[in-house]
Amino acid sequence: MTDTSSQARLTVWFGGGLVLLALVMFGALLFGAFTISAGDVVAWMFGGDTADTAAQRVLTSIRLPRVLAAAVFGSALGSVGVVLQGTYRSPLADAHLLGYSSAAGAGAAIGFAVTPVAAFPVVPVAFAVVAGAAFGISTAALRTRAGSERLILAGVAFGFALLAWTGLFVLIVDSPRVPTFMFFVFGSLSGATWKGLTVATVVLVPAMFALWRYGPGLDLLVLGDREARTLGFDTRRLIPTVVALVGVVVGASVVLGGVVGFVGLVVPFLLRPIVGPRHRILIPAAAIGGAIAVVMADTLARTVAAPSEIPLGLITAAVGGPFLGWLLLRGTRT
Amino acid sequence: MRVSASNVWYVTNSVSLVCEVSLDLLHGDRVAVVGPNGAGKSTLLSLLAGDLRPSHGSITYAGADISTLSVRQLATSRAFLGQRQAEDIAFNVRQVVEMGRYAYRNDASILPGDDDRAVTAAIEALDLGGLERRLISSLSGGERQRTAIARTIAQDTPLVLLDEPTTALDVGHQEMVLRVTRSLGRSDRIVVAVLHDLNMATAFDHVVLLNNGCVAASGTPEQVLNSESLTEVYEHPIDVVPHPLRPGILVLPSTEE
Repeated sequence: MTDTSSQARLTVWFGGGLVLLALVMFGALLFGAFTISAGDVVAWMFGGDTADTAAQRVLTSIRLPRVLAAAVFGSALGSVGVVLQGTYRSPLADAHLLGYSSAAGAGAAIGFAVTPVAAFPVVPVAFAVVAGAAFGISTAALRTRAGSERLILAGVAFGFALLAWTGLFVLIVDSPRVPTFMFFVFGSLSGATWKGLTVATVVLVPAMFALWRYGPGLDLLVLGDREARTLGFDTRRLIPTVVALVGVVVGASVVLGGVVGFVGLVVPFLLRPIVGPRHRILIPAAAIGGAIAVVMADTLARTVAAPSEIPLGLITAAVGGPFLGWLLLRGTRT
Repeated sequence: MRVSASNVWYVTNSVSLVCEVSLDLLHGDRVAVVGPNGAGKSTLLSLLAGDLRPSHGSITYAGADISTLSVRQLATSRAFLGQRQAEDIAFNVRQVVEMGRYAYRNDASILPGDDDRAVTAAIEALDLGGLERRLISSLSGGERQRTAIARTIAQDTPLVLLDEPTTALDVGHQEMVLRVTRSLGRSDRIVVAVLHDLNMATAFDHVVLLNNGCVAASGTPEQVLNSESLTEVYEHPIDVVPHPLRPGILVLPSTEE
């Protein structure tokens, strides 16, 4: 009995999600330090001659890369949240809470310090990716040895330590090449450029695709490591591979938007009841959901207090923090 | 497929959990492994599954030492039902049974589909048709157990290892599992089941009685399940009498008056 009705339902949800993402991105192009009319954006999109060339310049060189960066960043955060929750067998697992983001941030900070301001951020991405992957592999052992709560506490402890070292490094180096410390605490897409977007995307997309391919194996982990191995998923070899790939995705995304929490926690939680628990479905769903969430949050970040910017992570934490608290309280009741 | 264990030992912390076990199993064999708690039944099953590596001796599937097989090769050679089943799972019954097909999947396929027949057959064999869409977390212990057995059957391997498959089941479903093992035997699978219920063991072709990790007796149910050896191994008086209603024997642990 193939379930055609649920397949159709999924198709509708995915189609709807993509349409919503397109609408949100279109809307995000309109708002900013100065407002651009929808007509201008449409004319610019279809290559028509926009009356105001300043608007055209803003769209091409500032707003479009930023909105695309927000979408890519959000899809990375969302999908990585799903993968970590599956791998760690806990709905509380998340790149931010487990310390992956801070580790990647530390790597990125060092990389930024040796990279000229207008260059392609190849070195920051490389350093962040290595730091993220190394952190994932070296802490993966906690997965089976510690309970969910201890795991999160360990992640928070590592995260704070790495954040502190990053802060010390950023403040001591005090270089215009390195983003402000705030970037490594609450993130921001204000520095988004075509160059950064290109480097991050080239690294992110293959890694996310590889994680998606491991989807059916990640499904098996709900039964336990031993059962997953019995069914043919080589946990001893593939778990380190998966967490390293997570580190790669987190590393590349950190260079784009810094350290931002809660997206990887909230988005999968909201989507699971809709699209079900299978990773092959949930990973792309969370990528779309994460993109929508971050494009919206980033639009708020740059318009609420315009002309000054609010760090992106403040908005995601303001919404996601209470949500996490609620999740924990609810968990203790059952 | 021929499954052989030759002089297998499993020693941990200088305690022999399994000692000097040799088995030679051919397609169609149905073997019950019995013995008191701590006799090494589950350890022997894990060794046969390739989940544990023998301290001494070797186990082969079709002549190949199983320590040389990849995780995926093992998964297409043997299915293994463990004693405990995960409970708090957001997957439904059908999705869990589909997991049994993982080793055959092409990594590029988005959803299982081509394997539908094996999955549906396993679901029907375990009487789970009405529960397909139910979440595992909403099932009773026995329903979860049947789902896990269906997953094991869906794996469709020449060797099927079952650790206490009937423990959580009611009498009707215990008989159903016995029927499933019989039909596996008829389709040339090797079935090895660890059992606590000695009367259930009488329904198998071959019984291995373990005691302190060693084989105390091995043979047909009538040969192995006799009052003397059971009383000795279980350290409790056990009577074995001819079954009053059908051919075969009935094992009766004596109760103190």
